[in-house]
Amino acid sequence: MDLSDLVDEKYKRSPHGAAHEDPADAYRDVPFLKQPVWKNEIAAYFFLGGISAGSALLGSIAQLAGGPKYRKLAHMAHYVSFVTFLPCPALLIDDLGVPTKFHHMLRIFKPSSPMNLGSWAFAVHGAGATTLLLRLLASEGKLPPMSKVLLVLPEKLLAALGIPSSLLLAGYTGVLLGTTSIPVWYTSRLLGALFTSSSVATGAAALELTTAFGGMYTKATGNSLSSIRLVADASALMAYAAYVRTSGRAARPLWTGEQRILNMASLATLGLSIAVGAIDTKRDLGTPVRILGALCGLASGGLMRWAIVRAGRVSALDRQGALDAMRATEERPGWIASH
Amino acid sequence: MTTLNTSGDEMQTSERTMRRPGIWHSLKIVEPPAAREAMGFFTDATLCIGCKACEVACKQWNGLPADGAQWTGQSYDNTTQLSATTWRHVTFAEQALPDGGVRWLFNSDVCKHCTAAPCQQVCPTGALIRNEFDNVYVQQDVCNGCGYCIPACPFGVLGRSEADGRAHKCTLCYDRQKDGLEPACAKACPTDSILFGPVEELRQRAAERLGEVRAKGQPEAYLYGAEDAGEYKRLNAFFLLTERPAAYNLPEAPHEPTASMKERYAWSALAGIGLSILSGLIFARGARK
Repeated sequence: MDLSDLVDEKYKRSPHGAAHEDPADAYRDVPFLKQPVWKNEIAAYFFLGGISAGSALLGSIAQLAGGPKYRKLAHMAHYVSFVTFLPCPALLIDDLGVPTKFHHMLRIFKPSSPMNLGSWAFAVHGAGATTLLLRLLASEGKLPPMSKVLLVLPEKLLAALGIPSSLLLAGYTGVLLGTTSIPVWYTSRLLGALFTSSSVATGAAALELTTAFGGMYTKATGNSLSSIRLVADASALMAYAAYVRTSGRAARPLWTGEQRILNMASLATLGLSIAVGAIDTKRDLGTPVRILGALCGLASGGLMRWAIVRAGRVSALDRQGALDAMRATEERPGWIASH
Repeated sequence: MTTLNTSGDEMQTSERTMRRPGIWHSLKIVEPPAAREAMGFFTDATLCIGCKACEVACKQWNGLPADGAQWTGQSYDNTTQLSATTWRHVTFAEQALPDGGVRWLFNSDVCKHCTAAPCQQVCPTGALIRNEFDNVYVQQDVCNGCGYCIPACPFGVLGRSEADGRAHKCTLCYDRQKDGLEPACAKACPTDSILFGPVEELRQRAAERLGEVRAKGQPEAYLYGAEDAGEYKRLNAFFLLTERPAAYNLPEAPHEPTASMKERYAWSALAGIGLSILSGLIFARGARK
């Protein structure tokens, strides 16, 4: 056997063998950043957790600002929030290297870690969603009579108390990705704003679908949810454009390989969702078209999370991109030869 | 350096922990050891001969498994990078010179033990701590393998082990330091390219050595990580290099990921609160109709 067969193809490119005229090229095929270990479970959690946070937020706001007309919608929102939250702990725990130690996430309170703060928001949100669900079921008489004690808890107070943790849960995931050294996540400051907008938009879309299929679709709820989805989708689109723009060259991994397809599909479905919502404000398009719009909005949020999680894995392997992102500047002189 | 003793207190603690600790015991907050002089590494690339004794000594002392025999074709470097099971890595940058000759640039890479370490700041469980020697250390019994430290590190130092699912990296031989010994790599280094000691002393020595190297005909030499560099603070394991950082597969000027965290939360809150208010207005309008 020719020993050179054992040598990886990529090292045969230099005419000098393993040597390079520019020593900085010696490691040109060896990324210096490590690939994030987060994969599809995390993208799925970002999506479902976003819906859970968004629908809880909208449920609480409907309860506080909308009054009796929106009571049924608020209840549906809390059901949706609970159900979309249910798979999240499993997704997060499965992703851990040591799943049995999942509770270590809450052994301290450490706001300097977005994951720690997010875990607390997650726990509080989960507890809130469960309490609200139990209270709802008790008020509807679906639990044993002694559960009526839950009715002591004022519904509006519970709703109001849930708002901060829902807001945090909606957006901390974007802050978490941003607080790393991965160029496509780090460079822009707007990933949290994008995820927050998308959480509200997908929460509204999920509520449109469940109210429509749950037979409680009224003109008032339909119109309101459609308007909210339009506003949140527009906010997500602006945040997305601004995220890509402020990322500069670091955004390249978003437009290569499979991420390109995911991103294009996300933007296309977002565009459709916005178009349906915008036309709907002028003239009534009817429930089936609205449902189609909501489905597009939902799909867009999922595709966007997936694309961005994937892009991070690609970005870490782009050595030249990472070197460029960490070039010395005047305010960040770094450590380079002073000559 | 000072010799540390195993005091009577510590003996008692180890006897007590022989029994399986109950839940109350594990909830008890234990005082961390008192802070001591900051210890670190000064790795002088101009003295490195690429013998890899540090890699071997590290693997041997820390009981780290082999990474598998892969022939990379990358000079004589078959390790290529730091990982969960490789805590010292000698980079071999082979340079083709115009006269047909070859120049080798070696450097023994290691965890930088950053004085403001992103991995430690973002660790959600508190597994990553600064120990009494001001070194960044992963408490293996606390780490749950969430993987956050891995993309947080701008040097790609940490890895998650396939074997136990936890994050691992250089401990700066915490166990040896506790017993008054220098880390295994520094002990094994035949040219003293790797120096271990109090960081303040090392910084002085590095400055002296830099002057010497520059005077002897390498005016391009510089210290990597000995001083703060804008938002990224200095490293407790720093280097003397002669080529651009990229030649040693190091970034020029890493970002401090947590430095912009508040701004990220602010944008996020702006979007969230703005959309909440708009939603409230939409519901209120619907209620009036």
